Order: sequence, then structure tokens, then C-alpha cells
Amino acid sequence: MAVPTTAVPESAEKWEVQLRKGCLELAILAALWSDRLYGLEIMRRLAEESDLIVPEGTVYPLLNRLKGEGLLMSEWVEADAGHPRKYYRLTAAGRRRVTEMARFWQSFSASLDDLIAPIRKERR
Amino acid sequence: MTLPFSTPQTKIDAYLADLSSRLRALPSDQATDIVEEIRSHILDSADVNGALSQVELEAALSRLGPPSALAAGYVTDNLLANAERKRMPWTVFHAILHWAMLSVKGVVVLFACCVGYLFGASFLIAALIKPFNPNVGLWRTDADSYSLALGIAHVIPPGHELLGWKLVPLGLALGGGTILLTTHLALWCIRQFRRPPEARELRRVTQ
Repeated sequence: MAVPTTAVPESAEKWEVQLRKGCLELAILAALWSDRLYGLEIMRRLAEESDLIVPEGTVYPLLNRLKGEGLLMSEWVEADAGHPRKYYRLTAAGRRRVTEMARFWQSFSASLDDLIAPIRKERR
Repeated sequence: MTLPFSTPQTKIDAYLADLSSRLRALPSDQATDIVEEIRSHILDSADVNGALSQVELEAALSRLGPPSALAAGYVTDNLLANAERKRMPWTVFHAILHWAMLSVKGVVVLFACCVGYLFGASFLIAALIKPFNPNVGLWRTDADSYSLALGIAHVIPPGHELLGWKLVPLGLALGGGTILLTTHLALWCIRQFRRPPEARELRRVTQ
């Protein structure tokens, strides 16, 4: 395996993985804010809009869990592709949850931004 | 030409059959729903201009992971969610039994649970048998060791009994307490396992 030019310490990589994992629930709920989407579309949206590339084997059980918690509902829709697709949409509870999560995320990331501002200045 | 057993369609069928057989712990309508969703996902991922591509199919299946791992994500999650909702010792135990089949953490929790439930059950049994069999009691067999006899012996053990009839309320309280404590401890472990730390933190603050 090639050694990357800017080696990231293993612990930092681990932290990143944990952070992404922790944000996955918010990301999925947020992706469904205005549209109903099926699994593959959700993953594509996450990859395109937030660089969140997540293993498919994780997303489907998570979608199932969010549905079980009453945050999502699903429906089968016939498609031109020749096979039906399972679309997910937010329930009222899911809408409330993602609103709360987004609000928290905003105040949380803003305060972290303040904290790391000196570091970013020094690096410039 | 490819051999029949390696055509894309049979490959998909084999993957889904394996997945389906591993989802038996779920209600059958839910299992069917999941299998159909994964089928739809595979067909979408492997579709290149309306035809199934062998290369894309291989890639799609490897991204999904082996059926056993995928099924484990559903089954364990479902059982653990059930345990969290119902909070009964047997649902908790059932969930942990499944969890133990998947990870070392699960095995550790299962072992702790077994010990806790066994202790709890023996206290309860001792308390319940006491009124019918006076041979049950907390006997002090010698100066520094204690033993809890469970009425299997028909001869009163040597040494003297410490609790007498107090064993009934004490045994019930201690047994019930131990079982309750074990259940709560197991539920705590389940919650630790199910939520990534960041999500947990988020939930706590937003509530």
C-alpha cells in the first residue's frame, strides 16, 4: 500500500469515522426534508452534498431502525425501471426530531468554530 | 459463455435467499419487505443501460457486505430495540443471546447477564421454597464460610441457620432486586451499543 504524503495519525482517522457515524442519522433525516427518496437516492444525495460516503450495509438497517422509531415511513412505488422501489419520507415526529437536531447542530458547530478560530488564523 | 450458476440473476437470488434465511428472527412481513428492498437496490446498482452488468453486480454485492453481516444489522437492532421498548428480563435476554452470536462485547454482556439472573433466580427460589421445606436457608456451615442450601438435601446441613423465616422477604427482595439490576445493566449496555457516542450526546442535549 502506498503511504499517503500527508499521513493522518490513526487516532485522528478514528475520530473522523466516529464523527461521521454520529452524524449519519441527522444526515439521513435531513436528506429527506423536502423529498421522498429511496435508499440508493439517499446515499447518492449524502455522497454528493456532504461527502458522507457510507457503507450500504449500514444505511439500510439504519433506515429500518428510524422507521421502527416512527421517524420515517415507507411506501412501495412502481417505477419505469421494471421493479418497485421503497421510498422513505419523514413522519411528523421525524420532522420534529430533525428540526431539533439541526438547531443543536448549528449552535454546536458555531461554538466549535469560535473555539478553533485561533488555530485557523495561525495556519494561514 | 458463463455457466448457469454464475449468471447475474442466480447470483442475486442466492444472495437474497441467504439474507432471507438469516432474517427469520424478524416478523415475516418485515423480512420480506427488507429482502425486496435489497433486491431493488441491487437491481438499481447493477443496471447498466437496462442490462445487468456482471462487474457492477459484483461491486454492488461487495458494497452491501456478506448477507450474514447485513442481516445481523437488522436482527440485532430489531431485538435490541424490542428489549429497550419492553424492558422485560426475557426480551432483554433474548436480544443479548443474539448479540452474543455477533460480537465479543455481546458475549461478555451475556455472561454477566447469566450470572446476574442465576443469582437472582436462586434467591427467589429459596424464598419461595422456604414455607414448604424448612431445609432451605442460609446456613453457616463453619466459622468463615456461608452456603445457601436450596432444599435439595433432605438432611438439615450441619451448622446453624442465620435467617430463619426472614429468608422469605429477604430472598424475594434480593432476588427481585438482582434480576431488576441485571436487566437494567443489560439495557444500559444495549443503549451504549446501539447509539454512536455523538448521537447520544446530541440526543441528551436536545431533549
